[in-house]
Amino acid sequence: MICLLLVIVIVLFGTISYMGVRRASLSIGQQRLKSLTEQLSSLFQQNMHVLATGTKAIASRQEVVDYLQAAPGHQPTSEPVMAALQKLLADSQTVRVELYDLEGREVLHAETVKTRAFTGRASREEDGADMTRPDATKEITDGSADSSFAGKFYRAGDSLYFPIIVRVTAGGRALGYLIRWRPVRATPQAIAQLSQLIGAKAAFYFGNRDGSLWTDLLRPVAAPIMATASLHNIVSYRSPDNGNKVIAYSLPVVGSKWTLLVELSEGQLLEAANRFLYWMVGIGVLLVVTGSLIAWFISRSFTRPLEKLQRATAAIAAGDYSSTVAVHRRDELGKLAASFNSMVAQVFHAREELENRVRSRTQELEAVNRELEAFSYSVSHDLRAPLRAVSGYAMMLKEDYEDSFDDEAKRITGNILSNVRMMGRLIDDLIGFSRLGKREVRRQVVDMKALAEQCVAELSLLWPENKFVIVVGSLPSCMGDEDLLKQVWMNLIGNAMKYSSKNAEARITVGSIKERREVEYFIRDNGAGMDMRYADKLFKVFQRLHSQEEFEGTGVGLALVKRILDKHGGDIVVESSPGNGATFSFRIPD
Amino acid sequence: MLNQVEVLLVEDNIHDAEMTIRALRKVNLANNLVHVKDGAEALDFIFAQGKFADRETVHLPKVILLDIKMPKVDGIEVLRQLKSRESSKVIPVVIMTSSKEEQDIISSYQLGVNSYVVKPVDFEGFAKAVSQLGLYWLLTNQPPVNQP
Repeated sequence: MICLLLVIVIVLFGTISYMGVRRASLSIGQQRLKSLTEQLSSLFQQNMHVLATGTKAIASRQEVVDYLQAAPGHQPTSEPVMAALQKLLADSQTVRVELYDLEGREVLHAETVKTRAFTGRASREEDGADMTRPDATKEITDGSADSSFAGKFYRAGDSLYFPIIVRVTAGGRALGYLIRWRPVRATPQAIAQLSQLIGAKAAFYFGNRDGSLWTDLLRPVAAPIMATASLHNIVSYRSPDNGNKVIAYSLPVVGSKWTLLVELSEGQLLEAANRFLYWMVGIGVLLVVTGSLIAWFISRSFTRPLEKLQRATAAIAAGDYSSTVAVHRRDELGKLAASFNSMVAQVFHAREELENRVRSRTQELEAVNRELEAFSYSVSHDLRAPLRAVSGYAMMLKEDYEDSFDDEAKRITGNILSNVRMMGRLIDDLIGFSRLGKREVRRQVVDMKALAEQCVAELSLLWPENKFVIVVGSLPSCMGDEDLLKQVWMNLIGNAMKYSSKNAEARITVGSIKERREVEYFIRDNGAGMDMRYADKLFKVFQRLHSQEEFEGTGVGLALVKRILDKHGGDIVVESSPGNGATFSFRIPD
Repeated sequence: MLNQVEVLLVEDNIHDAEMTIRALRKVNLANNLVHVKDGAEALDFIFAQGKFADRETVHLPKVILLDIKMPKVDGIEVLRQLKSRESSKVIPVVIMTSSKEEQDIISSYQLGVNSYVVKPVDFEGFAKAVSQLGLYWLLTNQPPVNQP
């Protein structure tokens, strides 16, 4: 992620600075172009000026003046003029010198025989090649020769020539024109010098201001595109020669009919910028790589210990308290690891201590529980003997002295006896209830149907007068303690009978429902029923929802049932409404 | 007086004893009953020692009704002594006790008790049980032949 950030930053930065450098380079380049063009232009201007000066010197010679001034037919001999003209030809570059009158008619000319093309009209017409001799007459006649001294470029075959046109005057009056023809050919040294001046990959072109001819000083060339647009204006386009982007600027060469156009290759200008770009990219990549490496190292030095920490935390969450974080550093992470380790140790010790405490408490509780159970057992047990005595003596009283009892005495004795009976049942139930606590639940296969039917048979003996309709459906076997489960059935069926004993058409149904993997046993009666508001009291010891007069009972039976079922890991629920009987449902898991 | 003892009642609780005797009397089986109040006396009586040294040991009781929880020598110990000696081991012993402890039941049977009855809490049940016992062991059951 940091890598990505670095890359973005560097790319942005690089791009912006590259753009800046590029702009600067171009701007500098443009300045350079301008000044270059100006310099070049003025250089040529000076050159032409020198030539013009030389030509002017000859033009102002007396012989020339005299010749032109002479009336027609009265010319002096041409030798002195020719001599003067020849002087100009001394300059190796000049190929022809012409003397014109004001009307533009050639009067005299002197030429070297060097350039065949220039003198082509005379001798080479037969070849068919275009050998028109350059003719500056037009420039004289249209009057533009006054303004500048270097005339247009003229083509003769493959070569170009230009005239230096100078006016011959005497006493302020124009007499004619002296034209000095030179070829447009730069010497290699000159080219080299110029190249040095303007730099490599630059090009310059000279052309007639009217656009008729263009040259690179070696040969004629096609007119550069946007030649006119570039006058006093920097333009940029793609060079048709090599497709490179160039910027161009053109200026008129003062004192001539020429325009100078200089092209600079943008590529060269941008060379520095591009180099800068490459450097930037290189450094950028290096930075990114280094930065990423550093970031990776740093983060590792953070993430590794953090990973250790996280693993240790996970191990502890899973319960393994032996894991420690092995980070030994001086900085914050080291401190964190140290505190974590000490925290783990503390948690571990705290847990151990807690477990010890729990264990000792449990032992205490178990001991107390056992004491209580032993207590309740012995209490119930020891109560039996005196109870038996009371019952016995009351009985003896009744049997031996009944005859001499009046009704009241009989009633009182009767009450004593019935209460004694009640107490006896209570004690029996209590003893049974407390003995359950000591007893381990045996797990064997129990045939619930047979057990229920047995209980029904035994209990029916207690109710000889009642005609119960008892239906025992199919009851799957379960895993449990047969003796205890028999007590459950005895209590539940006994209750069903008891509470429907006043019902004329008592109907008791014992059955089971299979719900997925669990079996639910139920017993339904249509007896007295109960108010569901007090249902939660039902399974508590000594809690009854009916009075002794309505239905006798100790209030321990259902508590016993619930306790037995709890020991089996099962549960029991009741559904009932007053007058509509009750349904007890219980489950015994495997 | 003690020539033909039929029932030896070993019971420390006088009320239980009274009720037992009354119940037996009702079925006419209390005529030849001897009541001792603890295990030591019971052994003395059977083996004609101590207190009863001058008893003639010709006749043995037809049944011994034995309680377990007694001071000095308890019922289980008496049972052991009785069943370990040739002279006394043939006497039918019926343990009558409030205890329903499994351990007591097992030990008693292992020592050879002939019957184990838990005293009902209510008197009616108690009386009924005693009279049933008496009728069975004294009338229905054939006692062992007396040996000197």
